[in-house]
Amino acid sequence: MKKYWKTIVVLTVLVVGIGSYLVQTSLVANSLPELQIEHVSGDESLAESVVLSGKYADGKSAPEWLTLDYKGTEYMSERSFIEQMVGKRGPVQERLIDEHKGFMRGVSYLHDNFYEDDEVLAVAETSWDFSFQTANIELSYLKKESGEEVHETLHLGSMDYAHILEVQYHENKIMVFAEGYFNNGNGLIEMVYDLEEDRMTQNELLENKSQNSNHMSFSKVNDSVTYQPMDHLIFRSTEEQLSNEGRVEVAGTKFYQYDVNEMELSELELPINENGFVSGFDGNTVYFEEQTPEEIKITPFNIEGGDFKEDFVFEKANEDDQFMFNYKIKDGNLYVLNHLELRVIDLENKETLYEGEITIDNEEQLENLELNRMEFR
Amino acid sequence: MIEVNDVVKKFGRKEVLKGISFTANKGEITCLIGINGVGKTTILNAIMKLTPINSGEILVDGKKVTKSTFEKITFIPDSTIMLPGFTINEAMDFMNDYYEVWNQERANEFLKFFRLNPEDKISTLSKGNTAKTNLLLGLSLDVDYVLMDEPFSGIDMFSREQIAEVFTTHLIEDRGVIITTHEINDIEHLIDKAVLLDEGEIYKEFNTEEIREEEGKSVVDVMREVYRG
Amino acid sequence: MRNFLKLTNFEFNRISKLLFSLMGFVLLIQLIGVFFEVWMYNNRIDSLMTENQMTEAQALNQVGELSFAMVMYSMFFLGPIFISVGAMLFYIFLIWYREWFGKNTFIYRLLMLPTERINIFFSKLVTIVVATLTLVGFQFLALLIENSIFNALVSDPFLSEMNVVNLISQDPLISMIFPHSLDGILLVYGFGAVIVGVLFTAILLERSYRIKGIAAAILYAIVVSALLASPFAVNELLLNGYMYPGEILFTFAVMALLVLMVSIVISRKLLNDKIRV
Repeated sequence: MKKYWKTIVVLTVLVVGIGSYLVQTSLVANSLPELQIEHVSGDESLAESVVLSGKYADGKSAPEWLTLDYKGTEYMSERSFIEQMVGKRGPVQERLIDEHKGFMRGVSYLHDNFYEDDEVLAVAETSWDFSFQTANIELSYLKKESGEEVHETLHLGSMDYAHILEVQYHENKIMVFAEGYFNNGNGLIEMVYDLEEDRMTQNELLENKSQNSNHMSFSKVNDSVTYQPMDHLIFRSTEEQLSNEGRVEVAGTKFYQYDVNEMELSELELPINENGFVSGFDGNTVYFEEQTPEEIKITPFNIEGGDFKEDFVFEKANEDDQFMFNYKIKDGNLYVLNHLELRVIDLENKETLYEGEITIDNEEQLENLELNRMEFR
Repeated sequence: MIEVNDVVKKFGRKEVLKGISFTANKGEITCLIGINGVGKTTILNAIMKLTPINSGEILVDGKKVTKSTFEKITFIPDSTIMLPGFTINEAMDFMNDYYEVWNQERANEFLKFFRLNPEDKISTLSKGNTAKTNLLLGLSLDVDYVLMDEPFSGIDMFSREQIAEVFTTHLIEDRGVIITTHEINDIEHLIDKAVLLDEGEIYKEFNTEEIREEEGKSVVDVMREVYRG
Repeated sequence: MRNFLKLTNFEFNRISKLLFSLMGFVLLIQLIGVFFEVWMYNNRIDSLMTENQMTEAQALNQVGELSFAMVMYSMFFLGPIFISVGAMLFYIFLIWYREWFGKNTFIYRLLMLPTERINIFFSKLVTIVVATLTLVGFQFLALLIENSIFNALVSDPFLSEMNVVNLISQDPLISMIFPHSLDGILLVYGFGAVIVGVLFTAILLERSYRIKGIAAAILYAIVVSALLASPFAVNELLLNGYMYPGEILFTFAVMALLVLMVSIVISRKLLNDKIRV
């Protein structure tokens, strides 16, 4: 009965050791800055869907990844072990799983491959069929109101693989745009699934299949919010050739606009180069972005009229703050994060609809902070 | 009463016990006799559930062996079963910790009787003292039945005498004892019942008193008859 | 219950010698690592200053500051951990087999105790898990000691002060030993306990049926692996990713608990009816 001291020593080491580890862990978490989006003026509900993300890096320890929304800051490292194992998805995917748990089952990734409006949600995924050694497109479609679901497997036909660029929906037709790879080349492919007729048609909008031509790649000009309904889409074909030194270089770029309502593709003249780079597109207007040491200029260009509209100019808060500028276009509004200011501006009349300010509990930690991504929930 | 009913035990294809049945009563010393390797130890192990049997049944006071049976019956094997690093004192402590029927007074009696030093480590003891310690740890439990496996093998003459003496004292009285041996000489005069085993079978089970009185034979005489004849 | 606690205390006493030696060994070697890394660093700075005629600032600029990471990611630090892990793995087997082997077969005594035999299983399982956690706890305390000695040894301009918790979380290997929250510790070491339980069952199968038992033990290990892998395999191969990660994790946890229960049931049966001394 008297021989308990070893057990007591062992248990003491266990409790003190593990206990101080847990205490130290939470102390480290507490030293990270807490950010908050403070409402300054305007309609607060506009900011509720905004999710900013980035990192805090003080150079001493590994960067701490964080997201910031109207509720506050969340650091990756603060998530519990189980939460980290389960993993974090993008804010849109989290919202969709929340709203449509059954439908979203089995959806492995969401990027450019889905479409959502008030009535429908459509997801297209390229899947590999091991038994037939072919790739297919799995198309799922949900009518939000009735809860009716359609799941279709679209066969790629003569294609070996398809990289999905965009999904759109218009009048009972789901359109999937992809860069398709054939055994003799590639092309921009449009697959239209007619929900009423339960039928799929596949068109090659652009192709590059001749033996001796240069390599060509097809891509999409990025839209700010990839899943929203768009009147037009802009595609880009980039021709690449081998230089004499054996390097790959761009030989030429062409732009095309696709009219979603008419389902027609036509060439598009974009005044690139002289206005900076294309940094946004909302279905009708292309946004060029140009930076000088003092300011950032965003120039809207209407593709239908082929004319420029008035610039938006943002002063840089300080020169080093290049990572703290970010903007997105959603629902006719311009969302801008400039340094610590979050602003929502009506694109039509340039009126500020919302203004918010990001506050930090410890000003000194500001220089280690980067918020380089803006998303909508 | 310990009842062993039709117990069959196989090691692989080899049948070590071929349907053994006998009983051992409280207050009697029952001796399992046979040469080495006839399954005597296996029977004791089987009673204590230290080895599984293939068929048959073993009952102690009419009940199957469970954890509470171990407060009623003790087994003293022919090797030490305590941690070698323990002193005799620590070993007694250990027994006292787990057994409600541990009787420290009796243990002290044994210490004195066997002239053992409780501070000695078990691993340093001589063969004879190891056997005595074994006996001490087993017999200081206030149990009804005692199983002893070859208590006399391989130890010096004086220790054998001392151990044999134990059987005649109150330290054994009233208990049921099953003892195995291949040399009957030391205890022939002590045993009440003999069970002769060979090749996994019982040749003969008899009451030593009766056979002496009725046929005028000693245990050795019966053994000679059975094994030679 | 009282007998279980007594048995566990008894097992702690038996493992304590190993445990205390491992702790001493870990601390000793890791401290040598601290002194060695500091010495190496000082040597480099000194040789740059004397042989290359550099100023202190220039030498510092060339070599860079010294951080505790140099110690923590060195073999002086990881070596003793590996050895401790190896020792504990070995002890999983030793904790059973030593009862049978040698001149003194203690298994007789253990099996004849007037208590449920499964308590022997539980006390050994708890001993392994608690001893492991004790080593983990000790390692953290040792880290704190080593880090403060390190900070005292390295003079100011050369020192890059780091928090050990950050250093732990940055190394995939070390952060496996130190999951960063309580639920992680419970999950990781809980799963460890399940695996130890499976190994115990395998050992008892061998102890009950010897050669044939080894085959049964291997078979049991395969079945357990299949059960534990099933949530992932079924989701990938049959359900096309139907389950969300949280649901897979939950199913896996249920499977692990099931495996533990099956191990206990089998071990109980083996200890009661099949075990051989």
